[in-house]
Amino acid sequence: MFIFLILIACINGILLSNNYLINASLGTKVGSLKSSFINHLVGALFAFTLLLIGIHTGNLSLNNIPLYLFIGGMLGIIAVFLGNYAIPIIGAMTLNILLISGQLITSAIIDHIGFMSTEAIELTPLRIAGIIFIILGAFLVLLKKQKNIPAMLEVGKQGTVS
Amino acid sequence: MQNIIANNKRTMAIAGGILAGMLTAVAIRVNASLGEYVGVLESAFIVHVVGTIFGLLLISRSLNKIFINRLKATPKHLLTGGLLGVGIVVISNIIVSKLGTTLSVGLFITSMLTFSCIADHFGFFSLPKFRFSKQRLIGLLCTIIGLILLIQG
Repeated sequence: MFIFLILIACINGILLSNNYLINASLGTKVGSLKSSFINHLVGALFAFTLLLIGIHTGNLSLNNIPLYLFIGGMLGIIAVFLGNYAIPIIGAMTLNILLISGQLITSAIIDHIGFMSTEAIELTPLRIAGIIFIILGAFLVLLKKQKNIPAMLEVGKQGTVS
Repeated sequence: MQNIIANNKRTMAIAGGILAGMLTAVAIRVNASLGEYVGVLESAFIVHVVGTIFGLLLISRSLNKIFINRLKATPKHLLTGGLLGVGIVVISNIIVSKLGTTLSVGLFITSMLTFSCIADHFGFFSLPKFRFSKQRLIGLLCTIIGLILLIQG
């Protein structure tokens, strides 16, 4: 089970990369925020179609769901908006490292306090070391990319024009 | 004076980048919790509907003919991001509920970095080729050591 979870997590990373590149590419045509809007619209229609043809993984009843559980989609758009603002000023490489660090550190806090979860995962020294290693590794991978980044940065820049 | 303004702008941008990362982490956790309530696919559906409505509010002022025309001229394969988006939310919902947020995010980041190294090396998506280097190898190894530490801790 554990190996299976690791495996689909890896597949998710590949999906995320492709999603990022497609959206960046679409962003050069219509602007990043609009690109993200289209991304969500197509996703909503796709998920709706899957539900319509009878694929269910639970029960879509909107009763008794705390309202704050609906803010996920909104936060995603705000993140795109912020990244859009930051990229022409600090560049794609710095932005990516900030995104990764911010995500990991916040996740560790979320796990530690058991935010929205039945069980907390304590932030041990070993886990702190793990987070530092991942951020360091990401830094090393992304650092040399600077030469390559103009292409991606340009994507972001053009995306903010319109 | 201009220097101060430039510095402020930079500080704001850095804060914005960190905040974007923080919000993403919260979104990942919230979406997974929603998934525990209504099911993972149903959660992905709601996430995308809410994102569509909120995005529409933000871009409503520039929702004009120019946008529609540009969209019509866009190659259709660039519209497929949303299909991947549903898969991403579904998988992330499953993983986060089982492994916790930090390990999940760590796994996504590591596999993203690995894939982008491969994509760069072979020049996928007609991006300029960028050969795999020793530095990148060490970086990827670091992320894997980090994951092992997270699992052990």
